Amino acid sequence: MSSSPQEKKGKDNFIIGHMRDSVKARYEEVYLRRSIEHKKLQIKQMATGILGGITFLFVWYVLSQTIIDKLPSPWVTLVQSVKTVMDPWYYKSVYHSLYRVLVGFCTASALAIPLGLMMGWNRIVRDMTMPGFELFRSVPPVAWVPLSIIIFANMEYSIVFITFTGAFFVVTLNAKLGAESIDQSLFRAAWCLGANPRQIFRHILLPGALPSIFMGLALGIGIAWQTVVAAEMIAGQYGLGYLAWESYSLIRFPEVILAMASIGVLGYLCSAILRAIANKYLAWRKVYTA
Amino acid sequence: MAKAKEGNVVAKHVSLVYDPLGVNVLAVADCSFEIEAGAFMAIVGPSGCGKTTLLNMIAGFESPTEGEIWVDGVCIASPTIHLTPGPDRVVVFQHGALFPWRTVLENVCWGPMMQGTMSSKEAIEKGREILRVAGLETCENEYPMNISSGMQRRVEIVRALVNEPKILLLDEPFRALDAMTKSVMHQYLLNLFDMTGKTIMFITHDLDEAIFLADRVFVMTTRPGRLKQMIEVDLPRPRNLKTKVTDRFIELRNQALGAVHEEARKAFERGEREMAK
Repeated sequence: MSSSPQEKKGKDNFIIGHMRDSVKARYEEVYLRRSIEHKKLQIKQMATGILGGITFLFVWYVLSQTIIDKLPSPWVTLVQSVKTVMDPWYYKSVYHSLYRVLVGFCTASALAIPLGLMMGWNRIVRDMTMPGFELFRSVPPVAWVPLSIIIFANMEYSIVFITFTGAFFVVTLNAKLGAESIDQSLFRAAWCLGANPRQIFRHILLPGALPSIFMGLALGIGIAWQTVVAAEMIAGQYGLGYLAWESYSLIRFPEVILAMASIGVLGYLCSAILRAIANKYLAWRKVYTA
Repeated sequence: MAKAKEGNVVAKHVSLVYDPLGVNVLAVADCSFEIEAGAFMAIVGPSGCGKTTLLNMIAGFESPTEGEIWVDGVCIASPTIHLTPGPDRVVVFQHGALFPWRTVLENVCWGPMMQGTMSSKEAIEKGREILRVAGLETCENEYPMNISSGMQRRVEIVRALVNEPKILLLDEPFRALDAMTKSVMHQYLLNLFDMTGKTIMFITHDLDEAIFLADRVFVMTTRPGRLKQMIEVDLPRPRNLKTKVTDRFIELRNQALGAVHEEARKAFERGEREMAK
């Protein structure tokens, strides 16, 4: 077969292999037309998105010139931002925030996933931990700030710890939910096929709860970012939250917006990476329909 | 497979009492039967009569409150002996229990790999081989969600057979299938049965299905489930679609129809009474 766009699709290849030439030509024509239409649709969508962005900037500009005259205009913000982004000092802030989020979030996940799975699987673990969990879960992460400063004395550790508490509860509860949602007959089937408890944990509990775990991780990293910024504003040195607050004190308003945008971009990147990993491990959930 | 036949199952006066929230429910009462090695037995009864409970006890998911279950001359379950599930008695479940995150081939090799009886390479080879024999090699790399429900059931039966179980326990495996797929699956199961000679215990609420497939049909009463009628099916094997229109088939069916219908009606009426409470 020639190297047509159909090469990519295994199923289509199979179908084409069984077609008469006349039908094949017709099929390829239809396929080509359909892919062109698809491209057109994509371009249209992108154009609409860009239009939305331009509208946003325009509204921002108008507002900054009229009602909210303290607000720097998009252009001023951009110029000042470029200057700041060239400055190594800015990256120190980025590095500190990113480091705190990642350490807090990863530690939280590493503890929360096994704990949550055990809570969903084993009644004794659930009964032992659930009351405490319900109690601590409703404490907002920021409320941990004074206590964590008392415990750790070191600012850096206490901010990481606050980030940890932000992610920990939501990841645990989602892992628990995932473990509970697994069909009981899968566990029974695994028993029948001769698996031991350790294998059931690794091969049934973990993959079965994975969709829910990733949901928890996505929520957790979002909360971790919210928490780190709040903690940095209250108690931080360096970091993007600190940068936003400091720039406000020094009346450098474009930098306030830059710090906010940086947090947005970094948060988005973290979620995108998580989503990519999830798509890789959850490939089995994609159902191909004809 | 010219091994000495194994997989003889004897149930001696088996009863099971559920105790949910302090209210005792007698699910199975004083059931005794024998499945000879290499025989196909079907259990028929109305919904909620304890068919699945009976199967669960042989599989090892539940222990009998009274009575004993013997396999090949060994008592494996009694009120004092708590049986654990194992690869010698594999269950195929009502709604299907293929692992959705594993491909068909991975599902089939799962048992031997977990038990450590084969290296993963051997297990994959054996899985491929048995899938080829079963006519499923085209979908070995698909995830279970992407194949039809009939195929899923076939894969699940194959996954059970890879472990060379003594007994295959089928818990209404074709319940969710449409009539056409079902009749194809019956033929498929009969072929496998003739080929492997495994002992099979098959649960269903469909009398025709039971008579068509089994050597012996055990009709259960409504809850508490006990023996209502035992039908010896002497239809010759191999069986095919024509078997269903022979005089003998219709005769056997008519013999049992009254009993099954009576129990179904009782179950229905009890359901209405319980609703009214």
